[in-house]
Amino acid sequence: MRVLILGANGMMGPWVSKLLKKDHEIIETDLAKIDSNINFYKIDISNLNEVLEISQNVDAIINLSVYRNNRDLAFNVNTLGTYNMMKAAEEHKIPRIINTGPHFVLAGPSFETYDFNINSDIPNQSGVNIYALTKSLGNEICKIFADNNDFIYVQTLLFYHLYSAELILGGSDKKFDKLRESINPFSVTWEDAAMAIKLALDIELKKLDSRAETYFISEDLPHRKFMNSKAKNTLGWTPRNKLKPLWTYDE
Amino acid sequence: MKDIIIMIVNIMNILITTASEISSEKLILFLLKNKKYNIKCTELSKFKESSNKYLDIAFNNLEDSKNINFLIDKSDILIHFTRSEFLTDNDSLNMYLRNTYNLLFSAIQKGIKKIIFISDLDIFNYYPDNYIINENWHPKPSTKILDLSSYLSEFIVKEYARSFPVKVINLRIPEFFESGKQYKNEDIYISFDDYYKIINHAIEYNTYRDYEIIHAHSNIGNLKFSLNKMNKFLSFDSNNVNLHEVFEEPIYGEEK
Repeated sequence: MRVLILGANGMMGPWVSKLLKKDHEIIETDLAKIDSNINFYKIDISNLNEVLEISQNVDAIINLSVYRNNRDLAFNVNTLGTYNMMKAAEEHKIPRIINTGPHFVLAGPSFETYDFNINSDIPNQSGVNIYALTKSLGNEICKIFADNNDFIYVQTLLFYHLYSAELILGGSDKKFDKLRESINPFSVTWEDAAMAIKLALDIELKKLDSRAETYFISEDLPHRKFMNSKAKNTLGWTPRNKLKPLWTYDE
Repeated sequence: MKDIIIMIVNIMNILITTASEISSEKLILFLLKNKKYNIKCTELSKFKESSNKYLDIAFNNLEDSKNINFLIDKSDILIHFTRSEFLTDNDSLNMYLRNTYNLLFSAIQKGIKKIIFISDLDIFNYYPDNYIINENWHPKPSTKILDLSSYLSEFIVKEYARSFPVKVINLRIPEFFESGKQYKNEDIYISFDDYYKIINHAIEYNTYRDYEIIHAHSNIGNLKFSLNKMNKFLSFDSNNVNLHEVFEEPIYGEEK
């Protein structure tokens, strides 16, 4: 497949590109180039014309773009950017869209504060945190475009805390201190997260239950707060469960 | 010595957005007749200008939170109307979504008590015409930018209602009646008179729910939208009716 990656130079992008490039033709885009890029184009996702142009003749789009804190930029990237991606999918008849975001796109404070065994088929209740809400609006946009175009299949993969093989939390430069912290109940390794995206790219679309599916991508954690069974059952995703040292003491 | 009678009138401070839209201008002039209301007007869109020189409209694109805080300070009720035509999809999404978020963010910070959000019945356009739709139906908007923008701005308003102690009435209406325009029997519209009436009632109405959706339109030639809730909403006296009793039974149970 010819696969366009939006936001390829964030923290997730290099893991995904590395995994996909063996089997697929990858087009990487972002606001600035990095050394590991292959077939790179500078694209501002909030610019509709740029997104429409780069999306021509692709078979799938993976949206890894994200902006968290600044109110204006969060709207530009997380909401307007997703709208531009879906306009491109509609115009160029691109059937396979993989969108990403944090788990609180769905399970904001109204779920997470109170509940356990939360699955990924709940309605979006992001709350008003700007990162969560703008991503949640993006997720709603994806669903509406899928609802209105019977050739579009959107799969949304939700993550939160991501760890390296050395058990260092993404965005941090120090190893997790289990004596003072407790692992977030929505956590996964970068490798397992990238594998989930690859499986969503490779799955036969007709096997999906609907044209807008959402998965929680989190390892088998002991909290029983979030359920990853849909990712396992639908995508065939098997987390390698490498995070146990983060919630257990050595014997 | 003459008796001195002091009348205490509770002045209600109301902020109305998109004030240069003709519907808003008419609404403002209507509400100004009630001396109990202190009306403040603002225009969110930089593309609009008011045609009414008597209205003091503060133009504000809501990108500067300090301006918004000043604007909304001491307001009790916010009437937020976003419908407008824009140049690009980007402008529309900005106007509906970013501005709604910023406005509500400041409104909550300033302790506003009630928000009346004016949305659009067009977000049900994709349901077949022979369906009878009430407030319990999931909207099914098209990907047209105005439908999409209405639906998504409702999403923002709903999340604020869910998260903070504010009463929100989400009033979904069709396009306004235009005199001289040829209408078919099945066309759906709302007259300005009905619009004033329901907004006025929404201002005075003491809902016990945090988030109340009301569908409203004028003509009854089209049966697509059940107006049971609107009729109930408009017909009772909020001072005398036990609201828990009024809404105890589900509205959809009354369909006949």
